[in-house]
Amino acid sequence: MMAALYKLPIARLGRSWATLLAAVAWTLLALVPALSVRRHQGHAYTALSGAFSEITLPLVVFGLTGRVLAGGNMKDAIRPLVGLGAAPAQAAVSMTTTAMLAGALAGALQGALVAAVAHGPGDPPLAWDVLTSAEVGALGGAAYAALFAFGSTFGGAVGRSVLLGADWVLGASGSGALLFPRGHVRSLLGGELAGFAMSQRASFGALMVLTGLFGAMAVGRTRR
Amino acid sequence: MIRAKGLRAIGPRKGGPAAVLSDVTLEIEPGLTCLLGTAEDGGPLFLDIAAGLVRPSAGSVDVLGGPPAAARARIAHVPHEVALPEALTVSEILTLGRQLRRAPTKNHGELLARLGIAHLATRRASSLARAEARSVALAAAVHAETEVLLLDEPFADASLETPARLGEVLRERARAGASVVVATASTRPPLAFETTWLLSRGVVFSVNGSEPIALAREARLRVVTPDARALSAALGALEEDAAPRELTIGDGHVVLVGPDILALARALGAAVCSSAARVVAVVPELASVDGLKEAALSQTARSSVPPAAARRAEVAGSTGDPT
Repeated sequence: MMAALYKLPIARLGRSWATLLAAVAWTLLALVPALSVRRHQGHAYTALSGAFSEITLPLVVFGLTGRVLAGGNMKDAIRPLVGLGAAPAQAAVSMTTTAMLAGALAGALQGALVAAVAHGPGDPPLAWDVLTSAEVGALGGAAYAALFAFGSTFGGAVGRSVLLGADWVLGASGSGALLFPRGHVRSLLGGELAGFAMSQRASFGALMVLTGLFGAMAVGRTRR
Repeated sequence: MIRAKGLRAIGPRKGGPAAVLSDVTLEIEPGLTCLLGTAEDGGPLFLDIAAGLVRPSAGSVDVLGGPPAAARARIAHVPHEVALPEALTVSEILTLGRQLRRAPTKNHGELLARLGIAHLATRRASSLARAEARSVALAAAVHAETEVLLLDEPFADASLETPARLGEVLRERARAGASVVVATASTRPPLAFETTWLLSRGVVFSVNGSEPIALAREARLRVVTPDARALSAALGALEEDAAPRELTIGDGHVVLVGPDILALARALGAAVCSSAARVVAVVPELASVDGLKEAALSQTARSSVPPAAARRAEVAGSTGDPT
C-alpha cells in the first residue's frame, strides 16, 4: 500500500517537462559562479557556500516541492489520494518524503557538479570534495524540502514563500540561523554560521534534526 | 452499516446558507438509500461526516461498527467536487483505488465500457472535463468494491445514457451487500431506492412509501390554450392507457397529471392533432424538493409518529422523527 501512495507524487514530478527544464536551468545557473571560480583558480567552497547554498539549492527545492504538491497546499495535494481510500497522514508522508528525496537528489547532483567544476589546485582531492559536497547538498535539499512541505500546510505557495523568505532573512545570522537550513548548509560547505561557533558536526546534526522536525510537523498538521 | 445518533454539524458557507444537520438520528442498512434534499439541507454534509472528512459538533456516527476514520479503506466517497490524481491516467486511478484499499488487482475494462467511458482509459485526469472526471470518480468508487458507497449527486452532469448505466451498476453493488447512499436534490432520480430519508434544513424524515414520494413520482403538464374545452375533450377521448390520469380545466389552460412526463407529452400531441386546438405554451411541472418537504412536514404533524415528535413538529414547524 505504501508503495502505491508514491505513484501520484512521483508522477507529478516525472511526467512534467516543466520540472525537468527548471531543474536543468537551475543547475546551469549554479554552474556559472563555479566556472568563474575555476577561471580565477579559487577554492570550490567559494562557489558552494555562496550561490549554490544560498540561491540555487533553496530555489530548486522550492520548485520541486511545489511540483510534488501540484502547486497548492498539502491538504489539496493529498485530497486525490484520500478520495481513493488513503489515510491523510499516510498520504502526507508520501508527499513529504517524495519532496525530500527529490530535494536530496537535486541537491546532491548540483553539489557534486559545482564542486567538480569549481575544483581548484588548493582544494582537497577531487573525489573527496565531490562526495562531501554531494552529501551536504543531499542533506540540505532534504531539509529545505521538509521546510517547504511544512510551509505548505498553512497556505500553499504563500506558506512556502514565507518560509523561503524567513530562511533568507533569519537564516543568515543570529539565533534564527539555528532554526533554518541556510546557515547550517553554508557551514557544512566551508562557510561559517554567523554569530555561532558551531562545529561542522554540530551543524550536520542540527540539519538532520531540522529535517526530521519540519517533516514531522508537515505530516502532523495534515492528519485529518 | 451506518448509524447516526443525535448528529449535529454545520458545513462550510459557500456563497450561500451553510448546510446544517440538527439532531439527526438514522440507520442505513445495506441496499440503496437516498438522502433527499438540497445541499443546504445537509445530505452532502452527512456524507462528508460518514466518510470521516468532517467532524460533527455533537452526536456520533458509526460506520461498519466503528468511527468513520477507522473504516476509511472500506468506504468510497464521491463528493460533488471530485479531486482526481491529475497526473495519473484513468486506468491508473482505478488500479490505485484498489491498491490503496489492499484489494487484489482486477480488470476494469468491462466496468469502464459499461459506464460508457472506456475511451477515457488512457487519458490523464488533468485532461478530463468536469462531467468526465465525475464519471471516472464514480467508476473508481464502484471498482474499489467497498462495503459503503457515499455518492453526492451521482447523476448530475451525466450524459443521457449514463444515469441508467450507473443505476444498474449501483444496483449490482447493493445486491452484493454494499450500502449505497445517494444524496440528491432530484425528486426523480433514475434509481429505485429501498429507503429514502428526506432532509429539510438539517432535520431528517423517513418517507418510505409515504405520500411525498408518491407526489414525486407524478408529473404535470400545464398547457396554455384558448381552446381548453376542445383540448380536454380530445384528451378525455383517448384510450385509457394513453390518457392522463387526471385532467383539470382552468381559465385558458389545461393541466395533465400522470406518472410519466413523456407519456403526457404523447397524449397531448395526439389530442392536439385530433382536436386541432391551438396551443400557446406547454410548461412541464415536476415535483420539487420544497414541495416534498412541505408535504412531509404536514404529514409528520398529522401522522402517528410519537406524540413528542408530533408536538415538536407543531411547535417548531420544522422538526420530525426518523422512525
